[in-house]
Amino acid sequence: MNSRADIEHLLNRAGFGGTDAEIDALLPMTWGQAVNAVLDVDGAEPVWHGVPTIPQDTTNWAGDYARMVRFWLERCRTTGAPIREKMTLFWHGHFACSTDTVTLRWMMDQQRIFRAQGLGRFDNLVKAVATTPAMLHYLGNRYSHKWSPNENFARELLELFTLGAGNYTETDIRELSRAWTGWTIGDDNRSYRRAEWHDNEPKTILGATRNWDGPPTIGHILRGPTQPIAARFLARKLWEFFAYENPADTLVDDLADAFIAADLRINGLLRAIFMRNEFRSQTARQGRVRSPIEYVVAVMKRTGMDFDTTRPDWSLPDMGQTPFTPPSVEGWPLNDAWISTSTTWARAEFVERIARLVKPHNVLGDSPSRSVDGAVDHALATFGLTAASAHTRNILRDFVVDVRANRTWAEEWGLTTLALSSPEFCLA
Amino acid sequence: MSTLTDTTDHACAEGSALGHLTRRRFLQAATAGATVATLPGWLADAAAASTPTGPSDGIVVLVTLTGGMDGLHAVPPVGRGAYHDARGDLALQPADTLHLDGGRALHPRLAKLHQRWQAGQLAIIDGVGAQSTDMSHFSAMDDLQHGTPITGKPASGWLGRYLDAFAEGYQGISLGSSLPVVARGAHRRAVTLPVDASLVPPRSHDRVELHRALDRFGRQSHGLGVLGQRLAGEAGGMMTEADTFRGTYPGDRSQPDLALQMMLAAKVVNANLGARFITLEHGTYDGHARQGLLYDNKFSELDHAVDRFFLTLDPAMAARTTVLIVSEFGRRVAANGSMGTDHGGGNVALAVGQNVIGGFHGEMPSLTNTTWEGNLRHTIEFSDVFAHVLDQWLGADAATVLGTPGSGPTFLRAPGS
Repeated sequence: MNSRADIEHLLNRAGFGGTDAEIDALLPMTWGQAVNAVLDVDGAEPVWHGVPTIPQDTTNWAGDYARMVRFWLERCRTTGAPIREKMTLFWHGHFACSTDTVTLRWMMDQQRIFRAQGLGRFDNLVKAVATTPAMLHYLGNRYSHKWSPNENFARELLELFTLGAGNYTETDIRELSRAWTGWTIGDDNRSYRRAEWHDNEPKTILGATRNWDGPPTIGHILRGPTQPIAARFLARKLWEFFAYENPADTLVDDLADAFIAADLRINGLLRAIFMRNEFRSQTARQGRVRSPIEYVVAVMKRTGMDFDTTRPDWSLPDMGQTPFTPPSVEGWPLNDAWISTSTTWARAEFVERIARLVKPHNVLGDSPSRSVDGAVDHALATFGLTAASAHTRNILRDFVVDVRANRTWAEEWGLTTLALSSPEFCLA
Repeated sequence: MSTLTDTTDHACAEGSALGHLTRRRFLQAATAGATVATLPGWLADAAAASTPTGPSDGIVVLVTLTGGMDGLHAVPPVGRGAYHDARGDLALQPADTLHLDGGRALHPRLAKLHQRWQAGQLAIIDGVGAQSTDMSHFSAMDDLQHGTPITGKPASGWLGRYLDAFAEGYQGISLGSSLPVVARGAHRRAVTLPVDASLVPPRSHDRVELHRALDRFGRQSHGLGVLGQRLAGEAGGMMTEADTFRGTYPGDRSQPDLALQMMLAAKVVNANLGARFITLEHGTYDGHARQGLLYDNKFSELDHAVDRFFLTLDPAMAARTTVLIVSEFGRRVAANGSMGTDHGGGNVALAVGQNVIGGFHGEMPSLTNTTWEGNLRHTIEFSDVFAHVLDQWLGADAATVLGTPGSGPTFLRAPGS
């Protein structure tokens, strides 16, 4: 029998925190059944549902961008398949492209692939992403031709997407970049291989000499002799995304084996991650800080207030995580990077706005009508913090006692600010 | 924390008067209601510094140009045929550039820096790099931030370790939303200041009560592990920081982002709150394609921002403040086919300020005797550059911080003299 805290933890990591209804639904299940349930996306809304149509030559960039963010964060808040959006966030960082240089339309098209294929076979996903206009443009491969190949995409394909640094040579990069010459974007905004730009000579990539074309090299990297390296690379990265940083090598090896046994299906790897005992350890429960996107979605879910009410897009840039605009090809960092006075301050400004909305939207009911402990318990339960530390509970309790002396109007506002600022809520 | 209710709106003009007021308010805030031992980490450190930096304490503003800045485009050797052969249409023409010496020039968009060169306030250090095993942005950035070549992800950066070992009572500041590795030590870390946030301290009684409650999060163990405790500490730290630094925020919002950051950096120096270093970043310089246009824009922003920094800097601080500009690597000598350049090797580093030793330092690498990849060979390690800054400017022992004494160029005079 799982505790409520177990299920809250699973829903925090496999999604953006559970509502009470979502938690209640999983409570009676065995752990394996609960894991299967969060990985089951068949009954959820279709992947194309509600995706905004963004013109390639937008005449209203800010308006179209706001529509994209609104769509995505609302989808994260309301989806029947939170794992799909969680993985969309992961892949957005893993295959980072940015509105800094990429059109909104291409960013939206690329996200559709993360959503549709993000739980399927890894090799298929990499192939699909590699030839998106967003990627061909962002890493400059669209201008790469046989007379002077651009190494950027080849380098990131090996270093960031599949194998990790140190598992290939500079020669591999040069040869791989030759295989990808000619892969560009046509006037119709679709990717294609421009034959006269493509290098049709033999290349030696990771030990195999052939007249390589770009896409087949991905199968070679992921299903050839370097498969164990690739499997360990992604297994480690996903474990760090879902559980904690610096896992033991033996744990990573086990996960990589399971990933290979699942024919490189991402959902097979995720199942192996969630089924590990270490996933439910204290280290794991304390191992992840909510990134700003995770944080604002969790706030929306727990308060029941939607995007248009909360406008998290006004706060995300200052919090350091602007959707569709990661800071570099490395994507977004984890954990420690979100603990700084700057991010704390930006988050506090967001919380201040939310706290003022709580009373008009009746999120906490009539708090002053409850006993002091009742008010604190109700607030903690509302925000999914039933397991809050005694220290946090005391801070809320002392505030309620003080505020009831003469300013009861501030009670919901203060309880919300404190609960959402607590270290418990800031951890994922 | 009675000062949090202080509604006096102090004038926030540029200059040292601000520093005095802010420092007084800061120390009141830092010491009221709590002993130093119970304050959040950085604040306890800062509060211990009851005096500002001394007249010969150097202050360094570290500007990291991310993405790999092409030193051959910033300081083009326009007088050499090999440069034009390798760069083709991407090469800058002598008539379009700003003349230096020895067949070298500055990019035309670095006009203000060129004026500082003529005034003897720009040091150009040639052939700077690291022995990286690959040409990845991240390996190179790790090396740059750690300060010496390493394998694996660095847990600490050279300025963070400087805080650990030598900055008793002093602090470091990072501008931006997250703390870069360079400013993380094993025990101490720099304070981050948001670039954009409007730092308004609480005024009404309710907010003061609330913020007092927030401040309590960090005062006691939650049993939530390392990350949880760190999160708890920041909840209170941010309020005091807001109160401390709000006066340093530039009132002029019309400047571009980097200029705003550099002006903020200058005001933090002017306020003299004990900061010995300030870090910020500017990017991206990853010019794989159409580099000419990208760099026109980036260099314009950089040139303007450095100029705004020195215009904002209190003249009394000028002799002990230097701006150090570095990047994780240079770019390949030959242009690629996309009117850009791929990741390369040896590069320039720049130091700007009244007390730098103006001119070229080190040795310009050969454009033809390159590595097998076609990259410039570096002759000066990042650690040599940082060692000189640590020894000469920050009053530290480079061997302790970097694990190796420096043997590099001398491009700084004594601070404050």
